[in-house]
Amino acid sequence: MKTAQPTAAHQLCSCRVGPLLIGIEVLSIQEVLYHTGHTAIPRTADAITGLINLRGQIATTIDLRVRLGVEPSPDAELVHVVVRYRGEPVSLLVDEVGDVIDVDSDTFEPTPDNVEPVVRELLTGAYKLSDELLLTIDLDKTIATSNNRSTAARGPMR
Amino acid sequence: MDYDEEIVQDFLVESYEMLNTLDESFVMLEEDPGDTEVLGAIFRVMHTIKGTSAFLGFHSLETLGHKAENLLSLLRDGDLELSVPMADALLSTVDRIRQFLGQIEETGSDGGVETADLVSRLTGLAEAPVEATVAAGAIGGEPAVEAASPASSTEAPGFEPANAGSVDAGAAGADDAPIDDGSTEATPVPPASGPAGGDNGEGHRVGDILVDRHGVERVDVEIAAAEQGVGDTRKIGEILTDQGAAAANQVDAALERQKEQTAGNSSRRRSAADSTIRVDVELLDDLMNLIGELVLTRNEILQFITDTSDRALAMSTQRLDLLTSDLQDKVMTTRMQPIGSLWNKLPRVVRDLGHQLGKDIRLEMEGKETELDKSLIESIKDPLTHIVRNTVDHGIEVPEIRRELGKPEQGLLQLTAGHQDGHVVITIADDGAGINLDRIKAKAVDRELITADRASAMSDDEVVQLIFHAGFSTAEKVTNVSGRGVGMDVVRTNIEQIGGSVEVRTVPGEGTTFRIEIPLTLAIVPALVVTCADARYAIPQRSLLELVSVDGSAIGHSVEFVHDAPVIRLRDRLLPVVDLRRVLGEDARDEYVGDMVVLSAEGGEFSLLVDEIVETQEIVVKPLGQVVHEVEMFSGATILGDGQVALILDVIGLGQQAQVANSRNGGLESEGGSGEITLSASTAALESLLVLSMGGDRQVAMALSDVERLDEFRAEDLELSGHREVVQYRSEIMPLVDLASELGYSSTYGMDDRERISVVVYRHNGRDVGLIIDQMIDIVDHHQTEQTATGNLIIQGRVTEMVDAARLPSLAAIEAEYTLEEVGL
Repeated sequence: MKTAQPTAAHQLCSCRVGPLLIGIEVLSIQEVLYHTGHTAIPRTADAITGLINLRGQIATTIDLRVRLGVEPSPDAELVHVVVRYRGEPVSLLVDEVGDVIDVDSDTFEPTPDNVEPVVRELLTGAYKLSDELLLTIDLDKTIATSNNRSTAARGPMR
Repeated sequence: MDYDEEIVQDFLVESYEMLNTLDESFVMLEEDPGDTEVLGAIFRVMHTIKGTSAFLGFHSLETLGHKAENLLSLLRDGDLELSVPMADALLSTVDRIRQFLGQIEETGSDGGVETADLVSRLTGLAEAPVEATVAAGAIGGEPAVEAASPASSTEAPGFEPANAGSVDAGAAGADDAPIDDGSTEATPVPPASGPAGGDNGEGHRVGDILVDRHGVERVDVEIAAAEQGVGDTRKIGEILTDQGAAAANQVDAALERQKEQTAGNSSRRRSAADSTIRVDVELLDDLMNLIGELVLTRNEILQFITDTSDRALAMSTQRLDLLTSDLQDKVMTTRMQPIGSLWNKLPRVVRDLGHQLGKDIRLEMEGKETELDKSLIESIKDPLTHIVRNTVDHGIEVPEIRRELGKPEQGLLQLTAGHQDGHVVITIADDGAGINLDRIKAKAVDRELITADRASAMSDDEVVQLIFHAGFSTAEKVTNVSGRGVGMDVVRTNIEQIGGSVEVRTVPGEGTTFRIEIPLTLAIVPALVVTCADARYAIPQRSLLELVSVDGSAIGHSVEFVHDAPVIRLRDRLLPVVDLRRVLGEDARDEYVGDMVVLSAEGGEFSLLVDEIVETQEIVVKPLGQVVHEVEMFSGATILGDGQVALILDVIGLGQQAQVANSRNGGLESEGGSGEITLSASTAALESLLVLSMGGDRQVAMALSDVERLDEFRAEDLELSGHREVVQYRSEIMPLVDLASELGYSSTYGMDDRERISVVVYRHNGRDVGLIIDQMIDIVDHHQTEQTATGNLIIQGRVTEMVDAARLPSLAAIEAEYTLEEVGL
């Protein structure tokens, strides 16, 4: 599931997250869902969109756009990319799912230093595609810290 | 007693299983007689059976097992080589052990199975000269099997003469042995059960069959039975034919039938091995999950059915509903385990720990048979063990101290378990030192968990609760047993995670009792579905007390306020109101109108204001993902009939919110509980109260004994001294305090142009202070017991706040000012 250390050649599913193109390891993706109603969870960080019914299982939805601090694209489709996190399904909300891209580790670069620290923590690096950068993220970390208070202002408690 | 039976039952199941593997092993052994691994396996099985039967007191079985084990150990070590007679004898032993097990299962004892012959055979074989053994190669597969098969299939193993070694009287004696499996001859009277008319206890008496099916007179049968009783050795059928009461062919038919019935009966009463199977817990979990899905699907269908007029469909659905519930019950039963399976590890824990600490402790356990879900057993295992260890370590004193205190030197630790209102209640009680409250307070202050002020104001109950605080331990020294300050908080967290609660009561010098309450099962619970801010939430019904509608009208229930804290009056009790909207971080509602759900959490009660109550439903509790685990007011999520996800409210978490709301907003110190606490009966005296109206629509009361007198002043008589209003009163200057603003109510004083100011004169430390009030309403007599935790009363149908004039903040300021003045003058 970790995308931290890319091997020589492997396949990433490209996902549009605002202006960014994020690559998620194909093998770690359980399924992709469109148009699924969700139930919001009050008192959680903004990145936690809510819960969805995944054929009887309950999956937590994390808005990758909020997580990565980007504005959703105007023509966003809202797609749930379901991955497994510590044995449970977690759905990552992205704007759009694109092609599966074969990437070559020769084109991989670690995350540049000038990326905003909050986001840089989650990025593991970038593949230089011919026309764009395909960023890879540390899924475990991204999911694990998505309900941290620092990532979003918490509503007044009482 | 039941428990012993259970152990025996386990022994039987296990032994049957092991014997079955033995059959396999023998087959393997015959293919390769020198296989020491297989020999070792057989040896271990025999050893285990021997050991357990010795432990359970089945000594004949033990002796037999021991002899077989001896022979096996020689074989295993290569001192002897397996011979046909040995294989015979060992297989006979296996068969004999089966007989033993059958006997034990039936009668509970191992008496009645003859072993002398086999024992001597085995002994003989073990001592036999080496020549008697056959070369391993010569055994091969065939001859051994042939030789073994008569032994293993023998009807009465005792008849089989031993092929080698000494033969003693055992074989001859076996003729009379009461082993008769009934398959050789339809003996109506097993010798063991006495001569009473062929009664084998199950109603298959030949006589009965003859009466029922062959028209033989009952009286004849009874006569025949009576003759047997007085020493006639003939069988009942013979007597009847001899007397001409029944024809010989009738008796034969009856005997045939009896045989069938007996066979049928024994197949109905399966042996222990056949009636139970072992199932992987994971499979049960899967099954439970599937049932969960089924329940959800059923719920879905039930929703469709409300809109249909199709009768047949409605009927099928109803049946589906019933079947699902039944299935659910059954599957849950499969997961039930007696708590004894958890407890049986504790005597050892207590004993070892007691020894280590030089304490003598007696462990009493009651209610071992109480059953609860396996997953719950797993979840309470650690907390329970921890509490027990803690009790042994900290609770019970060493014998010397106990002697000094006049207690029996042996400490007592009592565990009980039982069912109560759909919950399992487990208590762990000791007769030790109790929890030292002062030490807890000191420690808590020391650790900066609470302030010293807070500590002195805490009730004993609250102090005890501190032990559940993270990072708290009162052990004088850190032992390797407990005292690292991790533990009790984990205990509570673990128990709360499974929807349970833990309470502790302690009496210094007399002991401590922990009371753990947990639900019977986790997975499927009845719940109330409510809406709030356009979302649906499920509330487990176990904490539900009642439903109240709040319409804001004068007749119905309505929310009243004590300062800013909303409360509701319910049959003369005041309950704090928690607005679910506020808890969820939504905008508070303009007016408190909606449905109320009265809930009980950890002993306290509160009322939850929701938008609407929808329905009750069986819900399948699913944990919230690890990502959002720490949200304290949700205990999980579920999928409702329409496929949407709903969050399950955690009532305990909500209760804590209510309590916080209380102590934050309550002007008068709350007693900590979210519910009400009545004063003890000894103070139940009558007291006269002065009832005042305040801030327009509020009502307060103060003890009449505090009131010096009531007076009125003209507004123009009021003067300012510094920033404080004063009035000349009885040739003294009396400071005035606006009671409404003092209590935090919106004050009307100063807003309206009242000409006359009503004042309650209160004497404080020898000085009069005037409390400005809006209006005096009444003086009432009142039982002090009716006071509630929040210091509120119901007087003349209205919520009334009790004012303790001595604690008004301005009085202290006034006192300080005047003291300074006096000193200055």
